[in-house]
Amino acid sequence: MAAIRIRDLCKSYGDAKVLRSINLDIDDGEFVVLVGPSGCGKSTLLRLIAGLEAITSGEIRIGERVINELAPKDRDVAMVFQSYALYPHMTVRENMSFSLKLRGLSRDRIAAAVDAAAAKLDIQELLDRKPRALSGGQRQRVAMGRAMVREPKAFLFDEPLSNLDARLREQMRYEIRKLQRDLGTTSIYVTHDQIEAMTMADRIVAMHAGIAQQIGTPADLYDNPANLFVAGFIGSPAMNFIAATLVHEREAADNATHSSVMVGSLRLGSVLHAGAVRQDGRVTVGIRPERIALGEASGLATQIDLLEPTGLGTVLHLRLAGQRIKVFTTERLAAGTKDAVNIVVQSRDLLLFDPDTGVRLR
Amino acid sequence: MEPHGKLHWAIHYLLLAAFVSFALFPLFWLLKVSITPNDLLYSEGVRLWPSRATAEHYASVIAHSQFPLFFRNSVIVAATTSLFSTLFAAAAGYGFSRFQFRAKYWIVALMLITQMFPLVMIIAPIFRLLKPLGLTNSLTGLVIVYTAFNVPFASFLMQSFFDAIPKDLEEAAMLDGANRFAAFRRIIVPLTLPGLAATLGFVFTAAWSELLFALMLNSSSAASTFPVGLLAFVSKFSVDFGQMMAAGVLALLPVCMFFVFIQRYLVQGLTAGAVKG
Repeated sequence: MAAIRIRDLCKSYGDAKVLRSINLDIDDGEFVVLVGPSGCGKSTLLRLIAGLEAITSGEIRIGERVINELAPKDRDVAMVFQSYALYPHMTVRENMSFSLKLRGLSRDRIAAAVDAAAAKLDIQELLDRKPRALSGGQRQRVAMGRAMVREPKAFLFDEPLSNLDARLREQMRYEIRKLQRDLGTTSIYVTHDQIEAMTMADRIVAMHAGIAQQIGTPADLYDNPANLFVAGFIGSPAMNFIAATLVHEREAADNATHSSVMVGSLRLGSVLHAGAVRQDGRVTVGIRPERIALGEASGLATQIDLLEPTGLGTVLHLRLAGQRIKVFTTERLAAGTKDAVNIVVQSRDLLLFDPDTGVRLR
Repeated sequence: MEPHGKLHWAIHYLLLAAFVSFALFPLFWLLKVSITPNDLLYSEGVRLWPSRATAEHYASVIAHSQFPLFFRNSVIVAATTSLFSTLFAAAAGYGFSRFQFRAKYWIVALMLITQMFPLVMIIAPIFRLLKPLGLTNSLTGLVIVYTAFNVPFASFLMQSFFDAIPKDLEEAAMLDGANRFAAFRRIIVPLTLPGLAATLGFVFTAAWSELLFALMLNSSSAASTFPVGLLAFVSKFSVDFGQMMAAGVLALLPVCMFFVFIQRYLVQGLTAGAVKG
């Protein structure tokens, strides 16, 4: 087990910059999730840590050691692949023993380590099977077992659940997290699924275009997104973005300003902000669908475009002054398409973003 | 099975049987003539099986001709050629499949060019090259020439087998503590056995039945292979069909044995279950 420190890490393929100056400190025993759309560089970052790709510039430390030039086999990290990458010509036992055999451990110690890992993962009865005779979930477990027996300094997971069906994914999510808690091994987990990221992570690294957009706890990213990308990527249904204008109300202490948030002629609320705003006052306002309340006569008038019942609640697609927004409610609704409905938003739930740079205005 | 399964099945096998009998008929004729006594060869007309069978051709080929020597030469040449070609091809194919390097395009192009020329065109220069090196009238010379001509195609063949093996497996092995060579030897080679067997078989049969170089480069009977030896049964005034066919049947045996030996690797679908599925 060890902490991982990443400093100014860059990776380019020819002229294409895949990672731009990544800085990340992962504490011993921490579970960090790299999340982002495909092509954001999250898998590349993982492969750089594993040693499967060469670093262009920067530094990676595992524990006290700089591992930039170290071969994958000397980095003492274990990886669980999306494809599981079980050795097809070996039984489950041989798959799990392989790394220990390469290290020259005695037969007895290998058998003991494999049996212990198999017991923990509940796969004892599969030990003599070949991978092709296993289901997807079982293969996933064997891949975990193969990583576990080595007691590595860190686990690297490369989208390990994306080949499983939804139900199994939910279960394995829990099992991986629980196992990692028990073992206390530093883990880096790559996924494009923000739900996996939210449910599993101690900390999330939200990545886009080769840049770590924001690093923080799941609640941090959800409640305090640093920019439009993070705000839009984390959360489902996704955050509403509304084009609005700030109208100056009055100055407050510490150079802050009170402004009204106007959507056309509708007033959404009043915000207190310190940062500079565009000359014309245009901003993008973000608000989570579940933070919008329905139904009070004093609210803003909207019209229902579409209703999406999810069982847990309903997602309403509405039109507010010509702009589309979503509202999530757990109430059972009597309303139907084209009906008018009033909504209420609290000023404290409004997040402001610069419409050009996407940066959060505070 | 679908509704008209039986009819489908019957037609399927009828067509297969027709093709197989068409393809195998010359072999049957080879066997038939090899056991037909000389006096019946021209007198019985066209018959599927002679009225009387004999092993005399086999006996005289083995006891009274140089065929055992030719046979031994062919085994040495074909076995050595297939071994070397497969080793080189596996190394080259692995490189083409797994690495990007600057001259890759040109190396592949050059290898393709070597396959473009009819062999007759280059036989004279090759003879001129090998003669001063003492590699004519020598089995070593044949092995070198055969290996050189088989490696390009065999390399492309091996590359396609390596391409079919997911990169993840090697990477997993490398993270498990293997260096690249250990990952190759312990993970990739076992999974490529069907490919290695196919390449070995392909090169072996090519070398086994090659006539042109064997005839032109080696004139002494001490260094002749069996295809050249078969020509010895053609004399100025007659062709000894019986002995020639008997020798042909004997020459088929090692190839058949070879394929029996490797066929279990050829049909294995080993990679099933390696990755998702």
